[in-house]
Amino acid sequence: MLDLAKVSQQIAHMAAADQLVWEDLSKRLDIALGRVHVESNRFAAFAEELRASKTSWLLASMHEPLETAYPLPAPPAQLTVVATDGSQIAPSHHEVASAFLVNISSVVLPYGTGERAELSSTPTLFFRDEDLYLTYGGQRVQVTGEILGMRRNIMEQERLIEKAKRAQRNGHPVCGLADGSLIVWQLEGKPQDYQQPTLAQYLACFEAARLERIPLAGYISRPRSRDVINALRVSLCPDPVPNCDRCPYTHCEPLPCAVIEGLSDQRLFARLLQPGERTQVFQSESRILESYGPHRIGFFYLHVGPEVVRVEIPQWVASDADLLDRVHVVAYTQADKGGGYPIALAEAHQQAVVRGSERAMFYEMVTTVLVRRGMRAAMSPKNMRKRRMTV
Amino acid sequence: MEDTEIGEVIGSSNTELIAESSLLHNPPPFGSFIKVQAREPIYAVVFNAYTHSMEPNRLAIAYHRSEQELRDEQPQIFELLKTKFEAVIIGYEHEGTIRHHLPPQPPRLHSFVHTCHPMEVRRLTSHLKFFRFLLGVEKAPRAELIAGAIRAAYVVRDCERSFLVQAGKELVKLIGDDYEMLSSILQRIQD
Repeated sequence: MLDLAKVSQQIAHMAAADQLVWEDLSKRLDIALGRVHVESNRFAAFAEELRASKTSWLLASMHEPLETAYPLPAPPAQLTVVATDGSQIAPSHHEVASAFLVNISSVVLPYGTGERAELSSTPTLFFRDEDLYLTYGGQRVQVTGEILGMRRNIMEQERLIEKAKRAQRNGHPVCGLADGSLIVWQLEGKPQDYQQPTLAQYLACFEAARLERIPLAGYISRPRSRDVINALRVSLCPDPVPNCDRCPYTHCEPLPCAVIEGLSDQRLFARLLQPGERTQVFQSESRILESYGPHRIGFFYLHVGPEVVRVEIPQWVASDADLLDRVHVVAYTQADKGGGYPIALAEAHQQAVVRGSERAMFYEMVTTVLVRRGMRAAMSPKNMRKRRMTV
Repeated sequence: MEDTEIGEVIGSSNTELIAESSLLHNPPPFGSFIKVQAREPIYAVVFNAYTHSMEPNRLAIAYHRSEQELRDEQPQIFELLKTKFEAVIIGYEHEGTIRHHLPPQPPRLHSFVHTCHPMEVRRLTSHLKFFRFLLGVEKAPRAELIAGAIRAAYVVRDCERSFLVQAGKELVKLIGDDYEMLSSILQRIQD
């Protein structure tokens, strides 16, 4: 039970604190915008500085001044947008079975072609021992949490490619949209015998898309990334070539570069872009991307009207003007049709989501079948107790 | 054309059925005769149809676009809408003859629904006892419903005047004491 009366006071305190942060961030934003202007005028030198600096945070590499904005290209007359999403019933040892279920949805929306839209979802039940456990780094690990998330992510990408390839056979340009980042940083630091095969499986989808010349994009609403802000921190450093490991300003409070700390790229570009416009394609320095090969992920920020979003694309999309334009126009028009968020992703989510009642129904079905086969089917006493509280 | 299904039963009782239309926005006409395919086909008259969102918590909103524009710009909408129709059961077929009373069992869920063949409409309307069932419908204006069914049968019967006379006589028998209702039906048939 949540005591709402007690929490309401804390909410009031939070709002007061938030207001202070908000006002402070506005000042920081003005400083950041000032730096953008300065560095645009001496871009070549700034770019060199970025290349040479050694910072403790990830920087966005850029090839153009930050003020450069690309207007919205004209949308093609015919176009098909494909999106997928997924959800799961995670394994729970408190339930009647420790199996888990992954529900992958797909949405194919043809525009101006007269074809019918397609919305569907496919559940897959994982119950074999080799599905439920992985062995890597010398350990047997249960497939749950991040590992399950990654498996689902791969399944989503595989479905996306499968549907996009089929859609492309109708002869119209296709664009694939995924919800969230295409940078699987979760794999960083994982044992090689898990990381390598998993990444290979993930990137195989990108390779299939590249061979078919179908652009893929990851759409990130309300991005919290600050790669570009971090680059501006380099601009604020009094040293010509910053090296954070040997920072001579540690005695300063705050650090000279910290005056724009706390800002996100999204906030910065909300001031630099007009609705429909995108930034240049930046390169991310995430370590995992070193293993991406030709699929190395770049990103741009796009003003979709209600917000600035981050769109991630593989290198081969970024370097193909036609595909890049397609992603730009699809991300914008999809958000426009969906009232601020891409309609294809919203519908894919709707198709994939497993509701509480459906989850309960799933376990009920499992119980029925187990009992019918004369097998033990019981939830844990803890779970049982949670459902039936007495006084 | 009569042989392609026009819908599938998704709800039924001994007296009524609800079916999902195979075509969006194209349910069988109000007052028309339909048949639920089964070993013993069940016959019914359509008294209501509607189109709505498939998911109860998703409301339809106005987009201020023509249907063609919507099909071009928001194609997913048409996959999220369903047309349904409701019909009142008026009889069934048993050993090759049409029985003008309720079937012993309601139509099975997921049975296919077809438009009645003109020959079947003729057989169904050779007796007009089914008017009683139409008069029992509460969810639709009864005068409209009976007039609609009579008009549908009249067209199938090559506009035979004698059929209208027969229908009029049956109505007098059933609702002769309700002058307003009777005249309202007759007026609708003449239009």
